[in-house]
Amino acid sequence: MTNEVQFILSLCIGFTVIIGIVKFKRIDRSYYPFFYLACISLLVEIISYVLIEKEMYDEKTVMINVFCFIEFVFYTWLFHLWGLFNFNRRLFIFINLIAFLMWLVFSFYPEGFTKPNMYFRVIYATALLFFAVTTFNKVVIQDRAPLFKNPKFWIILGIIIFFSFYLLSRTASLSLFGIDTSRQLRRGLQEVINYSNLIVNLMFAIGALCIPRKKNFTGLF
Amino acid sequence: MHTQEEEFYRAILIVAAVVGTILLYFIITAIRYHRKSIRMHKDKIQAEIDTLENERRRIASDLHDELGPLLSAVKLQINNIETVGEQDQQLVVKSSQHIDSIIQKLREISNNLMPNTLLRKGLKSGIEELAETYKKASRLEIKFNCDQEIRLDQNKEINLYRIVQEVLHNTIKHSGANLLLISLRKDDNRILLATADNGKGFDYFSKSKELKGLGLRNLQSRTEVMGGELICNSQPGKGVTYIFDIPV
Ligand SMILES: Nc1ncnc2c1ncn2[C@@H]1O[C@H](COP(=O)(O)OP(=O)(O)OP(=O)(O)O)[C@@H](O)[C@H]1O
Ligand SMILES: [Mg+2]
Repeated sequence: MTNEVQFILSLCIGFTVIIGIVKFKRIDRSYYPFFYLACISLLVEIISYVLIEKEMYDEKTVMINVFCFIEFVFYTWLFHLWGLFNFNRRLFIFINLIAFLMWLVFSFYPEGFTKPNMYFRVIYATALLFFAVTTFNKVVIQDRAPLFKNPKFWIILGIIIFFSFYLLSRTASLSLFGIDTSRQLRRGLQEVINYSNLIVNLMFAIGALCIPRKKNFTGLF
Repeated sequence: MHTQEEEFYRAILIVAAVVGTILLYFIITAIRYHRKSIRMHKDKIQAEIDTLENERRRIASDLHDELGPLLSAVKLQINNIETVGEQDQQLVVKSSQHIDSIIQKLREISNNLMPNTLLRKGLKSGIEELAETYKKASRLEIKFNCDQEIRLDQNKEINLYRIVQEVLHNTIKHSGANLLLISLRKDDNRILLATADNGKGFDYFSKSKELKGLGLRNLQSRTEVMGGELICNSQPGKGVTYIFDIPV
């Protein structure tokens, strides 16, 4: 995959953004974090492409480092609104506080801020995987609507799939830490993520399409 | 890549494939068990509703068909009693009146259990009659709006009738409203039942989770067995709106 192809494929998240813009006013608020995050992801994809083109690799790494934390916050927020922490706001804030501390620590350890915070990425992906699976069991399986029409089914499944492969690829990179690896190998590992990203973006788009509109009440009064 | 790296990469790809397969298996089983559990759930509430309605029907017809004639016979006999004094005469008249009101009450109870009008003349007339009865008994104004004759299969009619009944009860019992609007409409392939009151409103989600009363749960399960959708919109102080969207 060349950079351009990867970039174009990653724009698939744009579908979700477009659907979100069209439907935004008429959907339940509990889906808002999902759309906010889709917009941010799209932005990040575009900016990182520009940065790579300009060979500003350090800046790109810093941005991705920050984005990981933002992603964690928005996904946990989404799960929180769907009832993962039993609507307990304190717990939600507490978890994010811990994540922030970890992010801070792993931004400077074992390498500097301009290097990928690999440990944080592995941890946050694992945490999100657990959260996603729990939410899946709690919200999706309990819902008696058909699964294929359930937007939460598509969205959570997308998250599970993405972070499984993400984790796989990241732990692989982590195990190569300190070893002098070739560029192709690093690219190859990245590609595992790219392909799963593509599938998941399509699933997100399907999920976004499934989100029901809030019913209009043609006034009886 | 050198050969060593290539081997490593191949191993990663194999692991990725395995993870993918596991995920796929997870999805497929989740879907299958979900379907199964929905079906079982639906069967269960269908059975509950069937039992309930059959029981009601049986009791209603027992009351109406067996006690009714018996009481009528008693009344006839009492009226035929040879009375001697004025006092006895009055006693007979009183008893006869009491028996009349018992018969009347019996009819009401039996009708409440399984409304005859509903069974014979259909949903529209059934609800009209219900509205009439409650209009007399409470200070709630009920406006029922339905401009077509609607006949469905009997189970659906009973379910919809019970839904209206519960909404009506709740409006009288909890809302403090003085107006309840009910509208029933049939589109090509669905029934739309909508109600709105102007009472104090409540939070549907928290109340339906509290599981104190049976009413809200019944609304849900009856809508569910019909494969329909219940939408409740209510804000404190702004009344309650229900929409039942039922496929036919
Ligand atoms: N139209 C309404 N307006 C205001 N509050 C309502 C209305 N309908 C229901 N509620 C509230 O929702 C609660 C639950 O209602 P539900 O019908 O489940 O129980 P119930 O009427 O108390 O008991 P049951 O229906 O089993 O006799 C009520 O206690 C009431 O507080
Ligand atoms: Mg009730």
